[in-house]
Amino acid sequence: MAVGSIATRGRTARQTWKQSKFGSWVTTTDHKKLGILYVSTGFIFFLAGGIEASLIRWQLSTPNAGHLSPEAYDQIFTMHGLTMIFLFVMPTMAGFGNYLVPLMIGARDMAFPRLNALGYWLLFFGGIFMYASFIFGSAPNAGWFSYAPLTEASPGCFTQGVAAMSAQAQAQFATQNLQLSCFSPGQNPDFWIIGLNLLGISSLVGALNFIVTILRLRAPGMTINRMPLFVWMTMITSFLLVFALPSLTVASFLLLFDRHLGTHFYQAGAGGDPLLWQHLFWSFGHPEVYILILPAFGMISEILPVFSGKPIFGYTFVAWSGVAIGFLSFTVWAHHMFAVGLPTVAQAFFASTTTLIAIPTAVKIFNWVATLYGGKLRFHTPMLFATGFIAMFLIGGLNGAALAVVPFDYQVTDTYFVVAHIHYVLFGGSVMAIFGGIFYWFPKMFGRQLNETLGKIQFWLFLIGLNLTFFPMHILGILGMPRRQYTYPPNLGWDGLNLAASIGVLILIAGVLIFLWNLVRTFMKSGVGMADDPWDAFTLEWATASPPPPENFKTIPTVRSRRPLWDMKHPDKADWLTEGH
Amino acid sequence: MRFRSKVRRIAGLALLGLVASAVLSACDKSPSILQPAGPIAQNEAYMAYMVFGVAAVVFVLVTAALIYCIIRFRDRPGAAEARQLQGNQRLEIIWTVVPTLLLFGILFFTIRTMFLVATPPSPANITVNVIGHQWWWEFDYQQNGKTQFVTADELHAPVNAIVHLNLISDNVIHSFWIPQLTGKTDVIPGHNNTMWFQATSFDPNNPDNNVYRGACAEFCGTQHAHMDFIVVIQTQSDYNSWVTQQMQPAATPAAGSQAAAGLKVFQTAGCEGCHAINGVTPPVKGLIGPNLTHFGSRQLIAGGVLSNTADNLFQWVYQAQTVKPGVDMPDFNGSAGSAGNLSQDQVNALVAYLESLQ
Amino acid sequence: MSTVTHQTAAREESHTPVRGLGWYGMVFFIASEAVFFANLIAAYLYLHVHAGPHWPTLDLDKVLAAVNTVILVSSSFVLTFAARALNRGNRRAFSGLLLLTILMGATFISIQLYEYVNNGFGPDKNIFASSFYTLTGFHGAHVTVGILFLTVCWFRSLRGDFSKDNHFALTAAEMYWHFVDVVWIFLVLLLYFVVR
Repeated sequence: MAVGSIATRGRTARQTWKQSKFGSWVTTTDHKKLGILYVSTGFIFFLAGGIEASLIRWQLSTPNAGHLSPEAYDQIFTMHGLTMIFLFVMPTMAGFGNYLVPLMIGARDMAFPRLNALGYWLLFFGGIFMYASFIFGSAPNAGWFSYAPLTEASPGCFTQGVAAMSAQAQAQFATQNLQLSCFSPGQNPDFWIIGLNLLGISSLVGALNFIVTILRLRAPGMTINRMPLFVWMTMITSFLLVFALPSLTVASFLLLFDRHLGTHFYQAGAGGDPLLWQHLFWSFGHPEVYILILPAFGMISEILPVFSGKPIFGYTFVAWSGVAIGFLSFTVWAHHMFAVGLPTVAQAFFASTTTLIAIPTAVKIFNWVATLYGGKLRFHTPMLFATGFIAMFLIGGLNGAALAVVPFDYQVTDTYFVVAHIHYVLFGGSVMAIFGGIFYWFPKMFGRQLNETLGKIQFWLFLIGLNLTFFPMHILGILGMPRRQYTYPPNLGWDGLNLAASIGVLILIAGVLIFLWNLVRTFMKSGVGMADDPWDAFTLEWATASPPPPENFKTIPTVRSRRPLWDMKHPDKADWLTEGH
Repeated sequence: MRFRSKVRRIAGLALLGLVASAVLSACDKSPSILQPAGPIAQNEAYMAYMVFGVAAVVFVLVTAALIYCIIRFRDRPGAAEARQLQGNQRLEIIWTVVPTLLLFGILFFTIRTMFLVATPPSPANITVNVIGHQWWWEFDYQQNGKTQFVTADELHAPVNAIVHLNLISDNVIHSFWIPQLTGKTDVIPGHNNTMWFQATSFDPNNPDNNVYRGACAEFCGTQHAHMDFIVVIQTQSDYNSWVTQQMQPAATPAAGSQAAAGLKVFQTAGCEGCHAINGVTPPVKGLIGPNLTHFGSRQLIAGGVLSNTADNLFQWVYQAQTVKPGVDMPDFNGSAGSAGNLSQDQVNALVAYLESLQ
Repeated sequence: MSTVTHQTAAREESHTPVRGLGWYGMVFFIASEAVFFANLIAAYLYLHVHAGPHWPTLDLDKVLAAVNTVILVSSSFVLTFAARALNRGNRRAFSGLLLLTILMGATFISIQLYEYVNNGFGPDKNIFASSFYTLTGFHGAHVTVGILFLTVCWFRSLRGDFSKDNHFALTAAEMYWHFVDVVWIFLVLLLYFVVR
């Protein structure tokens, strides 16, 4: 009797908890709620990574500045990279994927809803774990690439160094407990290893879920060749994750064993090789670059057609160029290693594959521009970000292709030129796409629209800010400024350009603040009564209510073309009348 | 409207700032890859110009097309309905093939230049072992596979000589880079990487113009930012006399001089543990700190980050951890963790001694 | 969640040999695991080539390794027989053969541990020792997970959870176990016999 009542009370308590606002989010397995959780978590880490970026630019705004100690700077620039890659762009893309993929393909949820929740919570705790390292004063500090042997714990260099000293100096070292700098005896790389593996598992289960969902749960008529391009790109990204993440896992575990179990994988003196790390890391790292940008391609390929009022130009080319990029991305890793002294023939090979991968990327840009041609362009905020994306990503593509010119790469690799390149790709590319996506799908997620004026102001601040921040970095690299330096001397022609870059960050900060204000305003507004399809869109996610009901669709729609919603709205000009004939 | 003009004003200011800083920069002496002083950097600069040229043309064309579409097809009263174009296979094939041809054209020049800069046109005139330490560069001049002499922070070479470098590290990965002479090659433990350079331009009137800045380009720990060096290009005869001087043992200070007192400090304060002075300390190789035999003749100290003045040297000996935090060189000011408590007089004497080592 | 199950159920009605979502998930998971071991093996071969003539070798007990290989590979067959028994509806034979598989796996791990303790070197001995422990260790960890997986299935089989038409957990465990077996064949050849 007593036992029974306790059990009942337990059950009711559990039910109340699950029905409470907070509890319903914590225990959810709904792809829409998880999607929103992913995107919000990613956004919070975007703010954290942005604060780190601001600190970096503060320290570098003037030569020989002392705002940050070298130890602090190294932790902050490392965490900036890790945060933006693993805790902002990847989760945000996974969030959009989670929210949109089932809606876009006409499914009721992801294939494995509970696995989906697991993926999110691994990200959540993985992120907290990474940031907890700051509490212990030992955040990862050897760059997001964490090259061995700098990340080795081995006291080898200490003992060797001491052995080389005179007896007198040895005695002095012994009595005064002096430290020799060598590798990384602290816990910093351990936080890197364990944190990234937690996030890796999160990404892996997410990717498996996307693959199975996309392959198996498409609505009737939604053939592979009718899937929205965002779904295509999410699928390719997921395959990249499944096949690229293991390299990171292997690289990091070998390092962990070197550090704690006495193995010698990256220790040159003991039969290992530091370059093994670079081969393994970049076999993951280069596909990773495409993992960060392909979903952005997908978003742009959704937004541009809708606001141009016409279908994407050359759907097949855009989709299959993504596949080509996916395959090729596994063959270009050593273009991060042109300066390590590989044989010239091997370098020529990787220069060729890098040249190859530039082709499908170029094709996409032309297709996007052609999508605008002959359209009726409505410049709402999402469209501004999407067109801004094309121009900025074009710069990122061109300076990236420049880096494939190996003799030029010998000069500018590891300089600010590369910093300019990655930021044109990741800020000019991924971030612009993400904000375009936020403005585009916000009404879908929350049933209300963000303010357009504030959105447009934010866009212009972003566009100007990012160019002012990152364009001078090209010149800095050409003027010989290496990257990852916590400070630099004056009178080398670097001062003004660095100051310009730092001022650019202030403009970006203003843009982010305006976005935050926009969010607050929009959520404070009550009673909005927005149409379900405010943008006059084409794809299935807009064929249901905004926000969608828990089961997504009352009845699963049947799809007859790539633009099911267009067909519905224009039965006389429906795509399926002409498609495939 | 008001907002637009504000945007324009901000953009204008930003552009002005960029131009201004570029102009101001021109007064400084940058280690620019576009001001080459030898054949490798020259070839690499040609590639830079080529790729910038192509990129600029492509950027202008694509952006022009983008802007044309934005203006021409924007929605406005009376705008035509969007044309429901699905694509155009012929067009798409064209814009796949054209960039392919362009990129492979560039690849041709890329590979040609790679082989061009990979090997020197003739055998090396001098060979130097470059040893990357945390965080300074050691230069070990070789003759017949043996050490002739060692120095730090500055590399001397005669004009037009082919200089062969063996890149050695027994700690972490560094990267050796002289922007105006050659692109970088990583210095990796366990890998016998090599590189070469040749300085062909020479200004007989102003020796300052024959000094090139170099740096470590691979992140190598806390003081990666402070791992610089210079390359001094000299006439053959100046170089020869520099070599002769470097091969001498250290000068002995006059008895009773401040420098002589400094030598005493050097021998008693533990400096010998990390630093060798030929003729003073036992000949041990592989010490932690640089060899100081001809310290006074060098232009830079502390891993190439300070000019070699008595003042700077005083600071460096007295409180290296403040000057370059995390460096292996300890403080000698009696503070916690310092290697000794030298009086200011003692440090001054040591400075006088080291500066006398020409 | 229930809706998804409905969907799958609906699909399964339409044509008979359709595979559940879990099967597809498992296939891609194992693909990722395979790439993981491929990376480990590639790293091993890379170090081997890099070291050239300096590659060290150590004495390993080849006989024991051969015996262990036979045990593990046979366990895969036993598991297949177990699954067949279940398909025939013979639940007792199923449970028994499943238990035998688990015991064979446990024997494999025990022999491996015995070898670790008695081969007289640790992972810090040299680069071969580092590779040996890392590769076999990762494999051993996978075998251990497989054993746990099968053990859960065994308890569930005692409860009568599985039937001819409903045994996805068992199928997944089976896929995983065969995969772990195949990996071992590569490893044993690399580490004990061919590329030492």
